[in-house]
Parts: sequence; structure tokens; C-alpha cells
Amino acid sequence: MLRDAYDLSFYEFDEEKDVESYGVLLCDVVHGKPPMKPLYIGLGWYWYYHGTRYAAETLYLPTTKGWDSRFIDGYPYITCIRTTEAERKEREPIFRQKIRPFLEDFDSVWNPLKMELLKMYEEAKASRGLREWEDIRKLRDIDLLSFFLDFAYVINRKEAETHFLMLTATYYITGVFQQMWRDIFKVEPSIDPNYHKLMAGFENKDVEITRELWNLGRKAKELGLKSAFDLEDDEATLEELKKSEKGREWLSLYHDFLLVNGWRCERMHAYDTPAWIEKPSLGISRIKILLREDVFLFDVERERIVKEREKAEEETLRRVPEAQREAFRVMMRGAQKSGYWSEDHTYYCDLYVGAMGRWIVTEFGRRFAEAGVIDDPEDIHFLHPNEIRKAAIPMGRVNLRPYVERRKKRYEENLKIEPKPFYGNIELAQEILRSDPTLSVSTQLPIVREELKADLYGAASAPGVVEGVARVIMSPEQLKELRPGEILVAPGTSTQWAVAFGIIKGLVTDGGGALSHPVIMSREYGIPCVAGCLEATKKIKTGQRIRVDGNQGVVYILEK
Amino acid sequence: MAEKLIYWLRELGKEFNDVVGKKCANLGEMSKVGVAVPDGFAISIPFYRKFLELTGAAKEMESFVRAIGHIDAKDVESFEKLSQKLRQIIEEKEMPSSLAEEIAHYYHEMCERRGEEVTVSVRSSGPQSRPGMFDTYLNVKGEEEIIEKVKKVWASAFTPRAIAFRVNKGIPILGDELGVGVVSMVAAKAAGIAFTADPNTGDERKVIIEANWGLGESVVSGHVTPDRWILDKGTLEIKERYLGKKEYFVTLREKGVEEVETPPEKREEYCLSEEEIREVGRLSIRLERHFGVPQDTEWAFDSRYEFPQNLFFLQTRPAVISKRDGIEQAIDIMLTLFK
Repeated sequence: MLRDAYDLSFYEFDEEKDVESYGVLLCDVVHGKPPMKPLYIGLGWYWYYHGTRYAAETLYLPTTKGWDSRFIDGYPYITCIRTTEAERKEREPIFRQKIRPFLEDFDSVWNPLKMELLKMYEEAKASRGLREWEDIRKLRDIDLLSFFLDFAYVINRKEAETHFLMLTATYYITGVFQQMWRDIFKVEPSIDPNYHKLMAGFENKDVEITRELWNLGRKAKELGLKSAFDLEDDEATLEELKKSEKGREWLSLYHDFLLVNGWRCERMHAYDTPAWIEKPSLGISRIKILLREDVFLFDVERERIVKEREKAEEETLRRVPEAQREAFRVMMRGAQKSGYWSEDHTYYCDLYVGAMGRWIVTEFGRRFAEAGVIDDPEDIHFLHPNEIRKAAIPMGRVNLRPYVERRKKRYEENLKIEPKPFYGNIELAQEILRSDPTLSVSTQLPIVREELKADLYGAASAPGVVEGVARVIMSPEQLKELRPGEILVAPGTSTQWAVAFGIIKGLVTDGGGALSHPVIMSREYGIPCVAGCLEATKKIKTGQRIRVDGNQGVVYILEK
Repeated sequence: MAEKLIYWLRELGKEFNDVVGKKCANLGEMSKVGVAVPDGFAISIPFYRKFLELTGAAKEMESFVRAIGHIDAKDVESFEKLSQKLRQIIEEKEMPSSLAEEIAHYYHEMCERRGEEVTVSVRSSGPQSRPGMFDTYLNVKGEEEIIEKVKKVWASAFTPRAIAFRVNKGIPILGDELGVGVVSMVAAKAAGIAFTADPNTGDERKVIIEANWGLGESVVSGHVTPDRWILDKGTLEIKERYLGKKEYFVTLREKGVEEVETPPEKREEYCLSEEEIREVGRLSIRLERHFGVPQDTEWAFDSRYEFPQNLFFLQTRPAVISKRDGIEQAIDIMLTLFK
């Protein structure tokens, strides 16, 4: 029997048949919690699954044709479409040629692609005369529809294809480098401090944007606007700034920043959280946090981190047997670039395209609500993309409520469900991850070592050991509660959390692997971090003293 | 007793490199770590010097070289003339009886141990490695023939090619003095080579074994497609196997060796059992551990003995890993990793 997936065909789970043909399906705990809404599944995630297949076929991956997925109670489950032995033999020689450019010169592949994406986004706006967030209201229904179709079939598609081509290459590179590391040094790289030293000190777009926010904070102080930022409420801060000339001068600088960097939502592709350019107060809360620090930690730490990296590179290469040294050097460069890419791409890929998606679909939501066919603009998230397409013109003729209500009710039920981590035979998980290393983006499993007697074991970590007071924070809106010197405990971190890194002493997360945001950012800021603990936010309570051992990848709760 | 001029292989070790030459010293070193090598003895370089001295060859050679004076590195004709004369001086000299008796003594003891007249190979063994430059004689029997071949090996240091090599490298013309190994022939039912790393990728997780029926020469020369196995170095598990065509194999004749076409049923059969493959792997890895770098070994299974006493190692040296670019090597590893 098929399990309903908000009426989306082919995503319904068939417990018998799907388990039989795939062996095991793993819950995407990284992206799928809270459960996804129908529009997110039908638009952003549709193209991401397409992206995995596009990448697998374009690179001729020998062992996989990409991901397949099913939805159970709104939670995504993923698995690998494995190739046959004959297909593998056929694909291998072509794969050799396709992967080569990424190893030869990573930047010469990625830099043109990211510029192409940025140009596509900018042209999509400019060709329609759009600049500000509100400008989209000017479009006629037919033009909004054509923008929606361009977004769905050209912009989002192109982004997903580029995204997964790069992601796949970086995972293959990192996977091989980590395996070489295990073979040569007999230690798990994701919890080896030497490994992390090698990966640190590369400036990515996320760091660049955080630095701009920090500079905006400095500027506010220089202009004597500190008192506006002392107000608790972020909207009140904006109101206060509007009152003075200096405040308006600062707001204009901030607006320029948002026009470029404000295309970002809290939850990247879900379309159901506001973008910064839509709701400028979101950035204000980040600036307030950064104002607590007199220096921009990354820049202070950077020189030391780069020096340490160069020293570690030299020492590590010396320990590699000569016959393998050249291959090791190639893979090390590739792995370093992969780590950097992992944070650099979010701006060019997920964030920008997610915010554009929100821009378009929420405008449809507003128009549908105004036309009286849905109750609330945010109900748009319970429709399928093709329903929006069909209902757009003539606007307001079809009552969309029955579709919305049914799925909204399911969604609210799903919210209360704790998803099973997998369906099928979990012993096959390693085999499937071996066929498609990109699946580990979403499904990191903790490395349990009983002998350490820890309270939590991570899947990956950034080096260093620290003890301190825990602060459990479940969403970036709560970041204001964070006090300098605390250890942040969170479900995961993304760009929206980046401001926290300047003030925390350590980090523990439920999700994340070696290439995840918490690990990479912690490394850049020189903070100990243990990621992928699965139940950190459940086991640790705010106020408890904990020890974060990033060298071993484990966490101890000192006061129980 | 006078100066010791001949050694049993098992008495030797790498510290004897300058006394008996690299090949013999190495065979001794191998036997020290428990890897069986064939019975045999090493005729030392001091033995060679004694020969030159007692026969007057040393003086003749020196005066001839002095008379020729400086020779140009491109002067092929002079090389020919030098070669002819120097080889003639060595080969025409009678082996002084004291030295001949010494060789006979060791040879007879070998024969006694075996209980029959032993056939041997007579091998060059210089202190420096000069692969393929000097002569080796297979399937030699009896002391007279051995003595004749020993002189031929010494003389092979003076082929035009060997002289030209030394002149080009600035080594004195009389600079290569050779030790000689007299090593019991293995009546090989199958033989081959092992690499304790993939020579194409440098992947040190593998052991590569290639073998054919008969003596190892057909595999070493690369003229046949041998059987091939790839072992996991950690577990000695056979990961891959390829049945080779084994077009011909090399076997012992009454004197010397001959190439014989492999019969069809022997082509379709692997020439080693799994047990034999793993034993070759195990001992090759032991040699790698002892010498500290991946090894390229030569070995043979003797049809006259039972497993595992029938496995003899004939040579080991550092494996030459081809310099494929790092990217190709990295992609190789990628392909083994994702399955």
C-alpha cells in the first residue's frame, strides 16, 4: 500500500516494494526536519533529486545513477540508484576524464559556474525591471506566471544541476582523501586535529558576508547609533534609526548590503521563512550579536590558522610514503578546495535561489488570498507547483482551499511525529553510502567508541577541547539569548547562525558531517566543535557544564 | 688457514656487499630473515683479485690499459679492441690449482648434501647494481664447467658495453670487479615475480603476483602473458585473478634452457594454487618489512620438494614504481573506494 505524500505522485512510500528494491532508505535528518511542506517537495527538492541524477550521469559516476527518495509523514527518505556491474565497467573510463578537471584546477571549474549563476539571477530580475523586494507586485499575472515558470524550469534547474555537479565532485574527492588518511595514518580523519589543521584558513563567501555585517556594526558605533542597537526588539531598532539623519545614512548603507547579500532565507529552499531583503530586521539581530565583539575573530585568528595549516601540510606530506605522496598532494589540494566550496556555494546556490523562489511563490500567495481562493498567503506552501501554474490564470476562479486544508492538516500531524531514522535493513547503509558518498550530506551517523565513556559521540568535529556552560538554541531567532563564552548546542547551523561563531567558545550539534557548516565554520574560527551527535539538543540542558572534546569528537556532560 | 675467499650463501648478509657483491649478499640477508634461498656459495671479490695476481693477469691488464692511454667516450673501435684483449687475458688463464680446489671443495659439499651431482647457475654479483649488464649462466654441471663459467662471468665486466658505460661515468676501466654466485638450480614447476605495491599506482595496499609454468625467465623477460593475482596486503586475501595465456614456458635442458610451447590444458589452468600464492605474498611482505621499502621479488617452486619447503626466493630489490601523475593515481584509488 502506498503512503500518502501530500498527493504528490511517485513520492509515496511502498514499504514492501521499496525496501525490496533498495534495501534501505535513510531519513534525511539534515534537511528534512521539521517535515517538508508540499511546495518545498514539489519545487526545490524535486530539482535537487534531479540534480543528483544529472551529476551522476554527467560525471559518469561508476557506481550510482543518483538518489531516489520517498516521503513518509512529510519526512524525506533517501537511497541510492545503484548501477550494475556491466554499467560500472562501461562508465569507469569516462568518469576518469570527467573528474580530472576538478583535480587539476578546482577554481577554474567553480569560478565560471558561480559567475554564470549570479548573472542568471541578476538578469532574471533586471529583464523584468525588478530590483527591490516589493517590485514584484508590479508584475501582471501573466508576467508573474512566466517568472514562476522560468524559475521552476530554468533558474532552479540550472542551480540544482550546477550545485550537485560540484557537490558530487567534492564528495568523491573528500571521500578518497579521507580514505587515504585512514590507510596511511590509521586514524579517523573527521576527528583528527591534524586533518582539520590542513583544511583551515580558506576564506569563503559566508565569512566575507559576516565580515561585512561586522563592519556595518562598527559603522553604527562610529555614527553614534549604538543606543538604537541596545533596544531589545529588532523592528524597534529599525524605527529608531529612521528618526535621525545619521540613522537614515546607516540604513541606506544597510539597504545596499541587502540588495546584494539579502537574498537569503532562514530555511534555504523551504520558501516559508522570510528573506533578509524582505524583512531587514533579520540582519539587525545578527549585527547586534557581532557588536558584542571588538574584533572580527576570523581576521585575528586567520594568520595563525594559515601558518598552522602550512606547517601541518609540510609535516603530513613528510609522513606519507614516497610512492603515494604525489597522489596524496593532489587529493589534499582537492579536499581543501572541497571544504571551502562547501561554505562558498551556499550564497550562489541554495540561498539566492531559495529567496527568489520565496519571492515569487509568496507573491502568488498574496494574490490568491486577495482573490479569496485561499485564507492566508502562507497557505501557498500546501499547493503543488503545477496547481499554482494552473490556478494563476484566470486568477481567482478555482477554490484552492480543499487542497490546502487536507494537506495542512496532515502537515500539522506530521509535525508531532518523530521520524524513524531508516526503513529496511540498516546493515546495508554502509554499502549504499559506499556506492554514493553524496548521501552522507544528509545522513551522518555518529562514531561510537564505548571506551571513551562519553555522553555523546559525533560524526565529525573541529579540533580543540573546551569546558563551559551550555546554551541550547533551537532556531536562529533565539540567538539573542546567547551570551559570549557559552557553548552553543543546536540542531545544526547554517549561514543564518554564522554570527554566533564570533562569540561562542564551543559548539555541539545534532546533525552534520565532515563537510557540514558547523564543522567548517568552527575550524575557521578556531572553536572546538562536535557535530552529528543526533540527540545533543535532547540530552543537554541550558546551564549545564559540558566538555566539548573536538580532538576525539565526543561530548561529556559534567553536571547531570 | 688462509684468507677466506668463498662463503656459503647462508653465512652472508648485507654487510658483505663489498666482499661478495650485491646479489650474493642479498641472498644471504634473505635467508637470515627466514626466507628460503637455494643452496649455494659465493666466490668473493678477493678471490677474483687473487686469481688476477697469481696468474699475472693483473699486470697484463694494467699495462695494456696504460698503453692504450686516454680513450674518447665515443671511440667505439677502442672499446672493441680493449674488450677483446681484456676478456682474452682472463679467459685464457688457467685457474690456479689452489683456487680451483677451493671451488671444487664447496661444490662437492653441495653435491653431498643433495646426494647427486648438482646443477647450478653461475651468476655475476657486483657491489653496484648494474641490472642486465653482466653474464649469468644457467644449468651448469661439474667443477670444470663451473670454473670455465666463473671466468666468463668475470670477463663479462669487459664487454664493449660495460667498458663504455664505465668510461662514460668516469669509472676506471678496470673498475668493476665481480663476485660470482654459484647457486643450485631450482627445478621449477612454476615461478615468477611479486611486487609488494602496485607498480602502476604505487598503491601499497596491494601485492601483485605474476607467474608461469617452468622457470621464472619467461615472466621476467615479459615475453608471455603470465597468470596474475592481486592480494590485499593486510589479509592476504586474493582480490582479483587473471588467467594468462602463458604462450610458452622455459624449462631446463641437458645443458642450458629451452622455450617450450605451453599445451592447451596447461594454459587454461592457473599455475599456482591459492596456498602457494599466499605463501609467495607472505614472504614477499616479510622482505618488504625487513628492507623497509616495497620489494620486487623473484622466486620459484621446486618440483622435487613438498610445499612449503619447495618455495625458493632468488632475488629481491626495491620495487620501481612508475611515475604516473598524482591525478591518475588519485582516480585509481577513487575507483576502488566507491563500489
